[in-house]
Amino acid sequence: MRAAIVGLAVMAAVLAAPAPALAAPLVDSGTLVEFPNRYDGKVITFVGEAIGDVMERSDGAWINVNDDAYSRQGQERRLAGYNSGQSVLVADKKSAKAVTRLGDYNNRGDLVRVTGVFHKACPDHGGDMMIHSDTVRVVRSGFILRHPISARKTSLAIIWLVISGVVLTLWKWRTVSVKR
Amino acid sequence: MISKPKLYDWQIIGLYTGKIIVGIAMLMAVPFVTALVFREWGASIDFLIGILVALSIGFGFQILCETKHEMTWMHGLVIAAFSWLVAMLVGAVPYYLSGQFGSFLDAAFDLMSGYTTTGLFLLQDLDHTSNALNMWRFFVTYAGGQGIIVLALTFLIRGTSGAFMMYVGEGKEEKLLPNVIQTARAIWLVSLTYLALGTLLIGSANMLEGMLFTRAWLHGIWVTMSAWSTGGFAPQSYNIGYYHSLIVEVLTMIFFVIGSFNFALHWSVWTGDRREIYRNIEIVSFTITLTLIFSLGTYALMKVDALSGSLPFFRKAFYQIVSGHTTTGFMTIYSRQFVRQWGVLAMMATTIAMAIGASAASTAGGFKGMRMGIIAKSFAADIRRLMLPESSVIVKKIHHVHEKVLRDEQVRAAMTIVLAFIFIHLISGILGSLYGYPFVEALFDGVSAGSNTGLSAGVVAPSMPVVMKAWYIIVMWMGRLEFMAVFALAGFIIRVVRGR
Repeated sequence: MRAAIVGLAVMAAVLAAPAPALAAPLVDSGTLVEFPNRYDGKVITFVGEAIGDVMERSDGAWINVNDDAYSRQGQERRLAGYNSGQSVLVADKKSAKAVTRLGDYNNRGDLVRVTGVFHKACPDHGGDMMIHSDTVRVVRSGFILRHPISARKTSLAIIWLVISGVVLTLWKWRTVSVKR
Repeated sequence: MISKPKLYDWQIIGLYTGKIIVGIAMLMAVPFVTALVFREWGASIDFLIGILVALSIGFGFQILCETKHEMTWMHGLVIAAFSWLVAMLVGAVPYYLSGQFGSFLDAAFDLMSGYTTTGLFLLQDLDHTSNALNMWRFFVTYAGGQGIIVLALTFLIRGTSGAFMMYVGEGKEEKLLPNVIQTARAIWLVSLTYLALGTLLIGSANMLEGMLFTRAWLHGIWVTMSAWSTGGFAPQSYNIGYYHSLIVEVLTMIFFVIGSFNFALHWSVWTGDRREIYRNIEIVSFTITLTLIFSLGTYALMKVDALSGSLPFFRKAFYQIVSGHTTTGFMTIYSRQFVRQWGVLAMMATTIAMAIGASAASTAGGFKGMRMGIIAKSFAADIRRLMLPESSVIVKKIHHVHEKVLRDEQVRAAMTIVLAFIFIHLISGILGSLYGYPFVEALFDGVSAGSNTGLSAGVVAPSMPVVMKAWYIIVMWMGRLEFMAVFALAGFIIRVVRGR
């Protein structure tokens, strides 16, 4: 359900975008890595989950944006392979401040949308594959991820607590008897 | 006639394996405390179960295998190989319970990758991983880099005459000090000093580069553990490319290059002999092969117009090749960029760098600079012999801490290990091809696993066939232990099956 809502939010964000942005095709990270020459130096649109940190530097703010299956997941956690995404340098640091929730163990990060120039190996940034964007827009706010402890794991912990207790007692008893 | 192992053989192996598994339980206390500090309750249960399982198995082995028999050379080697396998299975428990692995095999793969400081991983959704699980990933790498037996010798096993055999079985042959327990402690002293220094520098760099306080320092300690151990794990899926920082890249490079040096070299320099840095055969060998391979890589990348400008060449080409040559596996590019942008020649140059590897008795893998130096010296001496009169005597010498005369047995031993490595690399390449991967990519990832590097062209993935995952676990293990201990374990199994 949440995935459907996120999908609608992405669609709405694309439709509500200004005209130049609409001209920029929405490209996923897999395509950018596999076909870098096709998009090198071109304006593209990229949507994904902001993860980790917003790292402010003199020329903008770096945000790593994942557009993998996880970025669209809700509280449920389904394994869907490795993460994938692209790094974005946002020139307008003020707009980067709008990104407040970043993806990590406790959080699903804000879903952001950027339109900018893709570089397969940016000469100004040490040959990084990246997107130069003026601004970043939050499409959907992130949320806290819950990690409930399952009853199965609790039972497992109790069982192993008992086993290790017995083994340790036996070991202690054996060590003492060997010393005698 | 092959004789079946006696009961006491089993007892000795079980007793010391048990002690090493207790050591693994103690290591797990660190991520467990991390989980409590960061209120990651789900992860804390995973590690609690892991600790209890390890304690039960470790002490269980010790109860069942109590013996006063002395350890022999064979026992030491078998313990080294066997304890790594058991440590992998036990250490994989919290990994598997985290729910971020497709199977227990995947979890075991990551554990072996960590212990062997390889850096390839099958963990899924790394970017939403708990601090506790990340702490375990890096702690395993750090402990594995110094050696889990070195760790056990330092803290758990005292005064046994067979300690040196276990130490050798773990792929380290040199004693820095007369006593092997003192040597193990010296290794830890060197490693902990660099860990403190690296954490301070990389943590500070992370803060300067805009990361928040807690994350900057956590990443600082983790990345240092990984760099010093020539590990290759990183806390984010973008690996070192996540930071977009020249300073972080330079610092990590310094630490993984230093980490790839022989502990005997470190000890010489620590005890005042700084000239050893320039004279040591492994440093000379590393410098020559790095220069040749980087030149080839640069030519290949220029040919396909993958990079332009000196800084991109330094941060991408040089970084990846040095990372490969030191068998670290840190990356500042995406895995698939090797295939899509670097091309076959640059990939082959990186594959050769990974295969050669760095220094013996270090945290690194591969053929090792020592063996390359020995083979090169021997080759040069043979050519000289052809040019000189038959009666002339040629004395081959190498410099490693001291000036040493090179004997034919040493050359033969070096060649045997190098050939064994080439053999497993070829099997990895062929196996990958049989499963439909292009040979160059399969060889790249196969060499990466066998040399304990961690660079990937995209073959290693959760979707990789089960047989390939199992084979990669075996080659990571064999590569790290440098075959001898694994052969000893195989011999022991043959005695069990065929002995009378």
